[in-house]
Amino acid sequence: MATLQDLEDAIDVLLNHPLGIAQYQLIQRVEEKAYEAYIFGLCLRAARELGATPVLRGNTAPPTPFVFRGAPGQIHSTGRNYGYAEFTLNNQDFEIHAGVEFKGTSGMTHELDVCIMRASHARACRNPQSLDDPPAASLVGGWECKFFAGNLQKGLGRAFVGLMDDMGGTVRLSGLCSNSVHPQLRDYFQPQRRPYPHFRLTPLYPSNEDIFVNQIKGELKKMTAS
Amino acid sequence: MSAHQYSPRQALEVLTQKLRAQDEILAAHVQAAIDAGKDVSKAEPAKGKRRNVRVYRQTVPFTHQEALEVAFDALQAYFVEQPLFIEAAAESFAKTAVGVPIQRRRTQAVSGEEREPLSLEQEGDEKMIEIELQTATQITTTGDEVLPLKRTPMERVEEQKRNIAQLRKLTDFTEE
Repeated sequence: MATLQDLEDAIDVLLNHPLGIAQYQLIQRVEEKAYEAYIFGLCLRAARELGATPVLRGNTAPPTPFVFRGAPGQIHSTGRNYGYAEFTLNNQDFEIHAGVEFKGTSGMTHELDVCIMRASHARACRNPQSLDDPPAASLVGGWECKFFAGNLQKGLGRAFVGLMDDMGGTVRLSGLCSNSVHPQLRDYFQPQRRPYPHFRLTPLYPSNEDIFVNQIKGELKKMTAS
Repeated sequence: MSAHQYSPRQALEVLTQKLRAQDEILAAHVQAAIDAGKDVSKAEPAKGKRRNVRVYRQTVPFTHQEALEVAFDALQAYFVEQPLFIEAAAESFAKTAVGVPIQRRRTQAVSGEEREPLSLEQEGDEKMIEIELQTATQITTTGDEVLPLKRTPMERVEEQKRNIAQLRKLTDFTEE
């Protein structure tokens, strides 16, 4: 029979483990960003699986280290050597970014946690002669990434639907990625052209990773086929 | 006969007390996940002129047993999933080369909108990944400028998976 002492001991083992409270205290400031880095890594995987060779780049120099923005920023920002990736598929160039702001069709700027965009627009926006925020039309796929230890908040889904609506009708892929889940949000995302609910998207559910990666592969293949 | 000398309520109290003693913020996150409750479908039997059963949504508190599961899910997110995100990102970055611009003579320079010629380096090597803490627009300094994401040995992650599984077992009252 399990005693209260057994339970207390088991809780202590969990919390005092090197990946317990100590890990939490180290990572809590960047927990969302670590999740974005994971989703960025899945985008790299999609490019690799399509036979492309993704390459890590930096805004001002080779990305050693590769720096993720701590807050939304401009694609041409040189405050730090922010990292991004580029790849070519069927002679079309693409870039993968994290935390970059885009100009919506209304003119309002929006941050996308992780995105794939047309590289020609990205390069134009970084060109010192034409610094700008990338236009909505440059966006191929955009994902909101939310790490949650509890249930997702409904407001996040509503806000992201509004954001993607302002990005216009040319975006081929969008989704709300989270390690968590929200049954009502899943229903809310059902109508066509709404973002895809990539819930429980974590290494603990490899089949969900496959869905995410395959969606990217499918759309990029279609887009670059002609 | 009960397999436990404690109730789900006592188990939850011990867990939340120990969490609070170690880290108030983490304890608050876990408590918030529990306090969000859950949606259930309630059925109202047919009555009066209405022939059909009416079904409606109601948000109700978790039972103590469910609250324990929610708490372990939350702890798993921090103690297991976070290290796995870093591991997966590091793995994917390691497979990716770093692009180093090839120096060209001025007459051959590419325009700002053309793809720059690159030499691909470090493919297969571990990359250093950092998260910016001090952002470009922040005018107050907050200590460290960046936080490196470092991999954890997978044995450690497996240990924490087992520790959480053990706690789930110790707080499984379904047969009682």
